[in-house]
Amino acid sequence: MNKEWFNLKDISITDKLSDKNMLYDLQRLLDEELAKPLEERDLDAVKDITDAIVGINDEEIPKPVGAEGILAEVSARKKRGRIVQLRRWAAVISACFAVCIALNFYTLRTYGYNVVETLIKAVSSGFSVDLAHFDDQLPLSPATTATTATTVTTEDMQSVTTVTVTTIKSQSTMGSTEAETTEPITTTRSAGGGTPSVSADPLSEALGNSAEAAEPVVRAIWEASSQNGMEVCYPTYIPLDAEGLELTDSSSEQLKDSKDLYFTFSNGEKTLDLIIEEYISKDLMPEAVIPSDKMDYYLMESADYNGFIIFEDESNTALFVYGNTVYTLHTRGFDRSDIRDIAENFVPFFTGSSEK
Amino acid sequence: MIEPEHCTLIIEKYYNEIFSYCYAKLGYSHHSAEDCTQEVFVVFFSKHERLDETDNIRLWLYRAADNVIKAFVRKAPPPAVSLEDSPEAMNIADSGGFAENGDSPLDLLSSEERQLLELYYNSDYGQRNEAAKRLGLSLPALYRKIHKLKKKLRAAEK
Repeated sequence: MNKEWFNLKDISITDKLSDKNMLYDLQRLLDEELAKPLEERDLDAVKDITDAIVGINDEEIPKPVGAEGILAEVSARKKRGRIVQLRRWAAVISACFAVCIALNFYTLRTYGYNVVETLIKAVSSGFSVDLAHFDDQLPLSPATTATTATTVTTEDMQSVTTVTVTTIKSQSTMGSTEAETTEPITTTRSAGGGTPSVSADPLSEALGNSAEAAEPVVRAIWEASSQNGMEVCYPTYIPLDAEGLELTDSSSEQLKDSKDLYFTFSNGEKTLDLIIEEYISKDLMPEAVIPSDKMDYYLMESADYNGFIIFEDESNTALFVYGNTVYTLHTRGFDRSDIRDIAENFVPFFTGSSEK
Repeated sequence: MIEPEHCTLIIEKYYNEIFSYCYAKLGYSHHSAEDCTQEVFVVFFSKHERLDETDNIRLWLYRAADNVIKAFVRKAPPPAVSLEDSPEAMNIADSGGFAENGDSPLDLLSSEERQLLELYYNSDYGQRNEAAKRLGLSLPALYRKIHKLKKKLRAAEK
């Protein structure tokens, strides 16, 4: 055997530095190319180098995800954007908030100083909410009759922001007109948040429990949730002046961590968007960021679920968590009291279980 | 709305390239590269309506990949990878030596392949670069060939 070849054989096989050296050289070439402005880079050279890096590592390039999967995700993100909600991608967004002035919220006497502070943070462009712990840390409220209104002024180095925090204790504090409009709801629910009797036909019972104006909303939610195997809640109350709401858009998404339903109802003057996200686990609920120009919100108190409402001039957004499901309600053309009454009167379709 | 066929064509054309790019920039992490690559295409199809047909899709994808990788690293910085410490990078090099037995597997190589091996082992970085050019190859292409030859020899040894 040729001695020269034998030596070459030994070197080429046992030289453990060889691949490392090649990768080092390639990384150096790549860094040189990437040091140029993007427009000036030779993308063919970049491809050549990175292909070699993959090849020398004996990596198998995975099969690309199907076009349908990508388009479904694109569609889901667009729908989320429709009500200016940023979910799931909060990690990217949170970097933007690093430069924002964080305001500490003073919480309500009811809950103690630090509880809400950990859940809701005001950022310069809106509210950031830790959904995963929202329901755990805020105690569900017993029915009470008092109303607490607190106005807090916080001051930082650059600006003074007034934060208005108001709790809504119960519907008994409403005016007489409101009390009248919510009557159908209160009669269907037990005082302590218990569940009505089980019906063989949940939709019929739901329609019976609900205000007439809520019928198209209830039907749409029932139909979509049934088709997607979801156990969700529906609003028993829609104000009379919103009668004639029609379903103008709806869709459902089966995502990695959740099943989502999207609805838009409108009667020409008023529009109501509803997003229902049923998560596999509470732990998977992301941080939600709700843009808001004002720092004005109401903390909902319900025997069954926790949530809050953010008020704007033209529109309002309610966000609440019921079990593993997040509900986002966005209204345009509705009064402030309307969204409060709608959001506070969601109940589950009863399917034989009264558990949340 | 994009037609799925159009989407499929773009994915098929650029997926491997963007994966390789992400892989090289993410410390040779297969899973991180896969996640980022998918995100690049989701971002692209989310924003494609703003692109003009004359826009350079390839360049746009690279730019998107840079942004996605930055966000990814910010969210979960990959551990600092030294090539010496990276099992992924060193798997091949650590795959064993050559037993002293019988005929040389080098006999399997053509004379051209042997010359390539000689060239690689008898030259430094600058000389390899020059030699690759003389052979009409880029340095990465030369390295890929060398790597394949080494794999061929190892396979023959087994």
